[in-house]
Amino acid sequence: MPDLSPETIYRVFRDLLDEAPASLRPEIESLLARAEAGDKTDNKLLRLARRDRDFLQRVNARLEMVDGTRGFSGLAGSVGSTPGLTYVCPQCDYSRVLGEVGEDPGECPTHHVTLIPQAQKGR
Amino acid sequence: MLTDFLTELTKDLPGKWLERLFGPAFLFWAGGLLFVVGPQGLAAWWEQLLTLPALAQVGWLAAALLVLNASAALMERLRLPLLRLLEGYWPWPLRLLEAPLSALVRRRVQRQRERWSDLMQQRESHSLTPAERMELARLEQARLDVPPDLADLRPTAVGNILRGMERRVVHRYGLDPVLLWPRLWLLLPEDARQEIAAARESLDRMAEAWGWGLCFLVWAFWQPWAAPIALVWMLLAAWLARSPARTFAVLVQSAFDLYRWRLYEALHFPAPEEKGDAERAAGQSLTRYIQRGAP
Repeated sequence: MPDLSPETIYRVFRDLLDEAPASLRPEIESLLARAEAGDKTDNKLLRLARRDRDFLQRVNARLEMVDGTRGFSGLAGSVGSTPGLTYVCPQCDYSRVLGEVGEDPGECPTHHVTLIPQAQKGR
Repeated sequence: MLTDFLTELTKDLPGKWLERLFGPAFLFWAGGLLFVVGPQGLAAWWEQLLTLPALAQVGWLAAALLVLNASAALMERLRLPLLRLLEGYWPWPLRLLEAPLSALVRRRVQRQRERWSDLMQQRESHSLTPAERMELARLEQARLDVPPDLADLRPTAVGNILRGMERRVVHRYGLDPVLLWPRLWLLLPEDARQEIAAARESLDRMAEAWGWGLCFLVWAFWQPWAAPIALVWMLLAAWLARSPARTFAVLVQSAFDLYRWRLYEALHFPAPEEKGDAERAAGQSLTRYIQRGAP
């Protein structure tokens, strides 16, 4: 359900003021000014928007964007795996792949030394 | 009389009012009434209400609506502390549970990371079976729900999702997101702010629903059955909160990924020219400037 609180409606109309048809703009400006002065003009603004079908669609689309259940949502697919960060034991062939910066590489189970980035081995 | 009153009252109710009336606050009070008065007592009470003069009926209903709305408004004010509870930042004595619960999470995450590392190494030597590829994708997704460093783990799923986002920004860019978020927020484009605000609103609503479940425990003083219901309520709300938490986390992290340069520019700090250690050092310097007043 879109957020139809007066504040949201005023904000949406303020955002769309430049896109409003020239015939409606003065009335919208006047109603927004009255809203700022403390009058409740949200329903009047919505009734006004009904006079222009295209503008009404834009208002509806913007109101739905404000709704918490619309807007961004992640893609439903699985995330791929790019190569990880390979860390190795400086004394043997033991290696471990880390997922990202910030992970603790841990130590070699045989030599108990901290693993180092693969690129550093043999320098 | 009552029907007319309700029809008239709800005719022009804005969405927020309706949500308050029939949201978790309503479940809390209705459930509480059932537990305290009992179904038969409630029916008798309703019958008695209908025998009252019209003005008294309206008065009782108005009082009930006022309590409902006021309690919902109060809970809205408590969203941030409730979210922190949901994240696992608990007061004493619950704080004592943090370490053992975090240790349980740590063991699970360690197992997952070892398996992920094995699969990544196997992938380099030979192709994975479809089942292994699925497992790798699942483990890759699970990685996003926890902080990179296991020392930062929280005892709850929502806590780990949000902590993971916070720590990733620190590890990658040297920026402290908690400290810098208000500054970055002021520099974000309006569309980005709307998306993030909507995601946060969804998360806050779930935290609020979880909070009502916590409050439901009160009814256990009258009826012990209220306790398991409250626990199921809280577990369900915490489980449902993971999805909006992920959305909020990914959007905030994306805001830092895309717009962190604006922080350097707005604060007249030289933007780091290289990624990695150089950027982390620059980020730490900027963070220190905001926190301490000196770069």
